[in-house]
Amino acid sequence: MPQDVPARLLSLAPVDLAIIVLYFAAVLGIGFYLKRYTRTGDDFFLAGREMTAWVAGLSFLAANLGSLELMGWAAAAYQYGILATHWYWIGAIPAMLFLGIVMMPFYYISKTHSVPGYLKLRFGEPARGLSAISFAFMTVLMSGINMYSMALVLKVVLGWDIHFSIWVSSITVAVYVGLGGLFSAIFNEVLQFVLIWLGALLIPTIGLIETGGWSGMVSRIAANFPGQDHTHLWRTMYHFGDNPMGIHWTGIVLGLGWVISFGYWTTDFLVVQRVLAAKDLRSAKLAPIIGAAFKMMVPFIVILPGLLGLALLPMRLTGEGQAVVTGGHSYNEVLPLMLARYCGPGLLGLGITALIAGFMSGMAGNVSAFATVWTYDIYRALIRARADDAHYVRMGRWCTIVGVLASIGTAYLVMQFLSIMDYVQALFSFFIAPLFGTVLLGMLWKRATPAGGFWGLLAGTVSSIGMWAWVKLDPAALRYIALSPRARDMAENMYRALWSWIICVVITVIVSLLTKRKPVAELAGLVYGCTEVPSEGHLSVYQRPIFWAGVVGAVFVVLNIVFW
Amino acid sequence: MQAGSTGSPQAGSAGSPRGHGRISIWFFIGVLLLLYGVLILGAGLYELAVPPARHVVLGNLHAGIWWGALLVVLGGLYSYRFSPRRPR
Repeated sequence: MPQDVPARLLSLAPVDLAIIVLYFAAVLGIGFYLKRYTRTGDDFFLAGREMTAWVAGLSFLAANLGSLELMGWAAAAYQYGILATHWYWIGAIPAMLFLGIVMMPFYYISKTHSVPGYLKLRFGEPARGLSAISFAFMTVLMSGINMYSMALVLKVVLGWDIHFSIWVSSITVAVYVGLGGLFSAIFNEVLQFVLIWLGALLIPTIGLIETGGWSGMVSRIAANFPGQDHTHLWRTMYHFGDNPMGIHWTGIVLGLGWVISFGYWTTDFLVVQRVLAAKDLRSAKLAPIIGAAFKMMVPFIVILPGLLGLALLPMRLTGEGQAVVTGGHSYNEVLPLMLARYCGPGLLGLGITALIAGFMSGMAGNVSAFATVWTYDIYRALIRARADDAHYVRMGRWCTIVGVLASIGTAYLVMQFLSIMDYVQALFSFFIAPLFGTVLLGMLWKRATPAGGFWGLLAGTVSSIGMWAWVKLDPAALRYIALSPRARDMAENMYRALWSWIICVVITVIVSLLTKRKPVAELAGLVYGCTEVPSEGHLSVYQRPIFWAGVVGAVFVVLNIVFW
Repeated sequence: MQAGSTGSPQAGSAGSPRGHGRISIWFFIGVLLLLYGVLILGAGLYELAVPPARHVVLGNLHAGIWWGALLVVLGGLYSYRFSPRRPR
């Protein structure tokens, strides 16, 4: 019965608390230290454009590790098996390599501050305004949802007060980002990246020792769940009904691998901002490739613990609703349960620090990107165009605080209306998928016109929201949107993203062909064929980004074949 | 003070001239890992001497000791390699 459930899953020893306190002291210390190096707008919003490929690449990946990355995908692995790995491999690697090799030159050479800033240069003010406002809205909402989720996790796992968790972690992020801007966010993201790995790595390591390696784990899962396949990536995807996600391989390849993945990794300013801070074009191209190499390894610390949970945990985990009714454990608790299984004092503190670091790196990413887009693409573009650099830096600092407060407000809103959580994934298909169509055509097709870019983006966004509302009002419409009445939420999101991208591209092409093209001279530095990309001929093969992209791409293909 | 504040762990390469004088992020990481290593190693050794009330699975591996030792080594190497006092 629920009243028999302990108030918390884990208890921390003094040494664990010391580790957590040290972490907070370190991130705040870095913020205070870097304030003296953050004087100009370029320093605050683009970290002075002096990051090496390694720092930019690790930060690029860390900003993506939101609060639910570790907990949520370990839970998804328990629920869906190894299929959750698709979000790390086909749902990330090709897009990250494409960003590094194909798109980065245009972002970097155009010297834009942001993705909406690129749209301004390529398509004009209306396209920038639309994407900046939708990005700002999405960022604050996502940040608030992540904040609430993390506070809930800390409440369930450690028994911490939900308000205490929200305010302490948010104020910490506001202080260090407000002081050092993107400099501080990036430095702390690298620190957080290292802590996430060192805190989370122990579970799969000891877990595999306990199961006797991968094959031992697979046989235990097969014995625990007879007749179900949890350990193959592709062979259950030939039919909608053969896998627990209710998805066909076309949905994974076209919806996730193409539109959602390329949309997120190549146009979401939250991650792209880190790469724009690179010190030169070669570093900017290498950063996403380094990020991709590490992204490919993340399933080891995220998916494997979920699979180990399937193999080793004596109890069956269930959905949140059922867990509340029965007093059992939910999918979301698989990682804390594995932590409790293997980690004694000290290691437990490190594991919890990894979870908190994941949350804070994601939040800092949201807040610093929000501050930049608000200051450059909304405030300077629409409210106060002529002010000195110091004014915009001050605005950026205030905006960081306002962004955090808005996120806290959203977190409390989510607390009141939990159904908001169900709409998170839908949000990506509303804004990110059409934006990818607009940016891609803008970079690769000279004929795309400002009117085409704006109307395509608007049509894609409106149609995506329209499809979502259609299914909400008439669930039978799912068979048209997701091609199957049995499709689950994830499958619906993917197909909706695909349709909205197609609508965006078609409208952009039609309107562009009907409107006056921009002179080629105005497209220099923005479009393929009009931009002189510096040659890498003088570099040895091992120094060229394309070589490393090939290596990462080859490993990606091999991994998919091995786990087919 | 060192140059190349944002250098990679491999090369420690220099950033732009404006980065001169700033302490490397890898130094901060090294110091934190060193402190964590000492705490976790200490907790592991204490557990060896005084067995805890709550037992963990495979506790006989004494993960705290070797993980703490690993952090001490990593943290020590990074703190030394990227120390602002180290001449270049």
